[in-house]
Amino acid sequence: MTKKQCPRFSPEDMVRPPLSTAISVCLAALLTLLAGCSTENREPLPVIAKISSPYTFTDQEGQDISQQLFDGKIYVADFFFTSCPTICPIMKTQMLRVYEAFKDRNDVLLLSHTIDPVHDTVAVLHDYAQRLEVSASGWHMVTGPKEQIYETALLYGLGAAEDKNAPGGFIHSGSFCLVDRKSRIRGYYKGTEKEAVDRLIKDIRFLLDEP
Amino acid sequence: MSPDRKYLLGGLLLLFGIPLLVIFFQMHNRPDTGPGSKLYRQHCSACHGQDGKGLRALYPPLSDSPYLIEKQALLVCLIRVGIRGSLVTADGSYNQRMPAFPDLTPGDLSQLVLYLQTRWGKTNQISSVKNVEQQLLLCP
Repeated sequence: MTKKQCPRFSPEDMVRPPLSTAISVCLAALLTLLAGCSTENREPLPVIAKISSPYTFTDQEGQDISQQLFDGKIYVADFFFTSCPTICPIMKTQMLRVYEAFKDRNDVLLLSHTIDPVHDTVAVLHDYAQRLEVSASGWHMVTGPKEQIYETALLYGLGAAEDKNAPGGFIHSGSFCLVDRKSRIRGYYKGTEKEAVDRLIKDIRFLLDEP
Repeated sequence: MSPDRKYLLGGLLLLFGIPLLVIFFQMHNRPDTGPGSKLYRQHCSACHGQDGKGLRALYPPLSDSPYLIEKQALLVCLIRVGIRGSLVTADGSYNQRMPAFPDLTPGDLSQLVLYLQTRWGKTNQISSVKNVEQQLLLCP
């Protein structure tokens, strides 16, 4: 009788779920390692479009920011506004991760355009950047004439528009656009998703090795 | 029990005990799924974070927020009407605009305040729907 009861309460039975979890954790770790090793054999990122913006904007330090500044540099562009109550705070939290990952490199830059230039003046952007504890040398937050900013959003393939019914008064894409050293768009990443931004950070490292 | 069996059991305990502990802690840290938690994720977490820690000097953290301690009577109005101008807390001063949430019902506000108080507050503010309705009458 004891022989029949014992297997029902054996430790093997009780620990089956943890065992499978432990195995999947080990597998995941192994896969991550393998993925890390295989970056050299990766397919190159697609070339989506060439950016050539004719406009010059002004960043949080009052400096003129034109396309030429990004020649020979890898950068990530996005569109936001400082008083945005919905997705921007999440986008900025994620963009901060990219900033922290590359802040010591001068060949990787971030470029955030405000789509609410009437409110987001140089002084407002300066205060915003200071509160985020980021430096203009790595992350330019730019403002300029509204029409030019909206046209630039189209160049990057990121929509932006005024909409009185939207929370905060504007709608815009929550994506980040990755641009290579030759001003070519190489990828889009959802700026509200941690996993997508993990991929962005990996792709920037991959682009840095590209000739 | 034979010594062999003891070693076997000890080994099994070691082998499976650690993953079991990990799972136990994960379950305890899992965000709860109550109505207040859902409202928090919908309306608050984008700025104040899932963990309520805020975002650097831009958005204030919720633990030790004056609106959960000495200004707790103003919390309902803060959420409903929002805030402009500077806010000084023990962690520093903040100046971003907090949006109004006019669509939250007294029932929603009651659940949300209960959640905020339980997770980050120090006092147990009574936030019955009736209380919330009374506080809403006093909002600017």
